[in-house]
Amino acid sequence: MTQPLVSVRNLKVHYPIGGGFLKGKPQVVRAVDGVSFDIFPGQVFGLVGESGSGKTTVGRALLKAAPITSGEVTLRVGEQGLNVAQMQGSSTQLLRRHAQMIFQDPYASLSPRMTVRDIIAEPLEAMGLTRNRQETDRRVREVAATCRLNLEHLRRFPHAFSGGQRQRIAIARALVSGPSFLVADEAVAALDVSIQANILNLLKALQQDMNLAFMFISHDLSVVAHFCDVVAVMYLGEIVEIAPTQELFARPSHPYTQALLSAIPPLDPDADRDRIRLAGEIPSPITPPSGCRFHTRCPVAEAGCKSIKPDWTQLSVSHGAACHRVADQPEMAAAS
Amino acid sequence: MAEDSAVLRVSNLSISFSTDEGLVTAVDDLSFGLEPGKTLGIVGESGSGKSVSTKSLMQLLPSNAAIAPNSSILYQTKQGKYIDIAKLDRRSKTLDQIRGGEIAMIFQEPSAAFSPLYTIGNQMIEGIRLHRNVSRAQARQQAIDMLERVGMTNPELRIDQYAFQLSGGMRQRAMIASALVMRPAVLIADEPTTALDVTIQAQILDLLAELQNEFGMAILFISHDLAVISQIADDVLVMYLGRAMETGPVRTIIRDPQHPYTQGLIKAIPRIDRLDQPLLPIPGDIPSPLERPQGCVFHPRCPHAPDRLRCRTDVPVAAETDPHHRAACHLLDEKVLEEVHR
Repeated sequence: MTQPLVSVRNLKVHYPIGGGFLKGKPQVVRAVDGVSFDIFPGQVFGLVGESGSGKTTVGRALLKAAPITSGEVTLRVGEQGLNVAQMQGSSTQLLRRHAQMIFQDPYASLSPRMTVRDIIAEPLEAMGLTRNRQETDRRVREVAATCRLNLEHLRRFPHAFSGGQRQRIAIARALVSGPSFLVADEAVAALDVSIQANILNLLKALQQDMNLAFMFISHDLSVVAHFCDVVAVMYLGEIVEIAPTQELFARPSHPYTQALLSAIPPLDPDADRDRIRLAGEIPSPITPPSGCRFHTRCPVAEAGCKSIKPDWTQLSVSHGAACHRVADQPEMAAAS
Repeated sequence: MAEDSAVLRVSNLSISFSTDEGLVTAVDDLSFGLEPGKTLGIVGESGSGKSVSTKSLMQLLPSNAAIAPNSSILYQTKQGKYIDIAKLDRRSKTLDQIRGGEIAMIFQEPSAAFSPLYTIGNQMIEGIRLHRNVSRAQARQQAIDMLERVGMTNPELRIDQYAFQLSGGMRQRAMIASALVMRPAVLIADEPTTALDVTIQAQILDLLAELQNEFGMAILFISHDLAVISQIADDVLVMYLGRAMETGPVRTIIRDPQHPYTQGLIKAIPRIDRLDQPLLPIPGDIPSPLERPQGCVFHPRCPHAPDRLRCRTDVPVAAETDPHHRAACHLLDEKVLEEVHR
C-alpha cells in the first residue's frame, strides 16, 4: 500500500476569544476539534460542511496558516516526513514549496500592482528556487502554458482579466514551485457556471498530469461530487463521515450527510427525492452540544445521543462514520 | 398573451450606464410580465443584467444609469391604477408608496439590508408606519406576528435585537418578514439564498413558496443557480449580456432548451444525478461590458456561430418555439429562411 502524502491525526485548532484584564477567562472557539484522515499522492480529497463547520480552518492548519493547538500533521516530502505542527523557520519554506493554496476570490488574492509575470514568479524568488532571471522566466512561461494562459498576457496587470483568467493565474502561482499538494478553498465558488467547469477541468488535468494531491474545500456538494475521489463531511469541528465519492453519494450513512445531500436542489423540478428537512442552524462552536454534536438537529437522535459521543464506525475499508445509529441500523446505510 | 392578468409588465426595457470608459449597455430590450401567485425566475451569469433590470423596477439604479425612453414598466397598483414606473421621477411620492408598500425586495446580504444601528423592530416598525396609519404599538404587534409567521423563534425577543445578533438564516427570515409585512403585490428576491448553506437554503425556499401560497404575491426570483430557480419558479427567463436568450415554463427550459446558451449552461452545471458525465464548459469568457459583441451577443462563444454570418451581424428576434416558449436565436428560424431562399 502506498504511504499517505498528508497524514492528520487528532488535529485540534482552538481559538481563545474575549477575556483579558478584568474580563475574566477567555472563551474557547473549538473550530477544529479532533479530526484524523489521510490524503494519498494524486488524490483529490473533498471537505464539505456548512459554514462554521471548520473546513477552512482544517485546510489552513495543514499549511500552517492556522495555529495548531494539538495533534499531528505530517506532509511527506520524498522519504522525509515534515512535522507541520512543530515546524519553525527554514523548514516552513520547505513546506511552502511542496504545499500550496488556491483561494476563493481571485480579485483579492492577486496584487493589482504586480504584472502577471511577477505574480507567478514571486514564489520562485522568495524561495530562491531559480538562479537567475532567465531561469525564472523560463519556469514562469512553462507553468503559464500549463495553466492555459496566453503568454502575451504575462506583461499585463490582473485588472485586465476576467474571474476565470485570474483564477488560472492564481493556479499558476500556486504551481510554480512544483508542489505535490494543493489546498483549494472554495476555488471555483466565485466563478460563473460556464467558467467554473473550465477551471475544474483544468484542475483535473493538472492533477492527472502532475500527480497532484488536492484538498478541495467546498460548500457546493455537486462540484465536490464531480471533482473529488474521497469526501469527508464536517460538522462543528468534527468529521462525521468519510467515503469514496461514489459511495458517499449513493449510500450516505450519517444522518447529517443524508440531510445535506437531500438539501441539494436537483436541476429537474420533478426529480424524485425524499427531502430530510433539518431544523435550525449549526450551533455555536464555543459551546458545542454534548454527546453527538449533531443530536440537536438529528432526525433520528435517541436518548443516548445526547450524552454519549459516538465512536468512529468503519463500515468498509474506505467508508466510515461517527453515529450511534449506524451500527444498529445497517438498513439506514443501505437505503438511500 | 396573458396581458391583463400581469400585475407588472416590463416592455422593451433598456438600461445604460455612462462610465469614464464610455456608455455601457447593461440591459437591452428586455420584456417580461409578473403574475399574481406566480414566480418568474431570472437566471444569468455575471454581467447578464439580471440585477440591474430588477433594481430598475423600483428605480433603485445609481445616478449614472439611464432607462431608455421607449422602455415601460407598467405596474397595476392595489387600487387598480396603472403606473409606468420607468417614467416616474426618482423623488416622486408615488414611488415612495410603491417601494416597500406595493413592491418589496429582499437581497443576498441581509446584513447590508439592515442598519447595524437600529434593532430589527425599529426598522420594521418604521416601514409599517410609513405606509399604514397605525400606532407604534400596533405596528410592533404586526411586526412580531410577521416575524413569527416566517419561523423566527422567540419573535418578542428577536424584534429588539440587532441584525448582527442573528444567524445568517434568521437574518434572511427577518428580511423576508420586513419585506412581506406590508403585503406587497410583488416581491423581488435578488439571490436571497446564495449566501446560505444548502440546508438553510432549502428552508428559505420552502418558506417563500409557503408565503406565496398564503399571500398570493408575484415573485421575481433572481439567481445564478438554475437548480435553485427550478425549485421555485413557474417560468424562467435566461439572460446573457443584458438580453433575454430564452423564456418559457421551467420544465420546458430545463428539459428541452432551444437556445445554444441555455443548452451550454445546463451542460456546464455539475449534477449529482449525472456523476458519470463530464462537465462541458462554454468556451471562452464572458466579454467585458465595454466590448459588447455585434449581432447575437452570444456569438463569440456559440458553437453554431462560426458557420453563420448572420449571427455576427444581425440581432436575433425571439421566436416562439411553443406557446409560451420563446428563444432568440437565428438557428431557430433557419429552416424557414432556407425555404425562402429556395
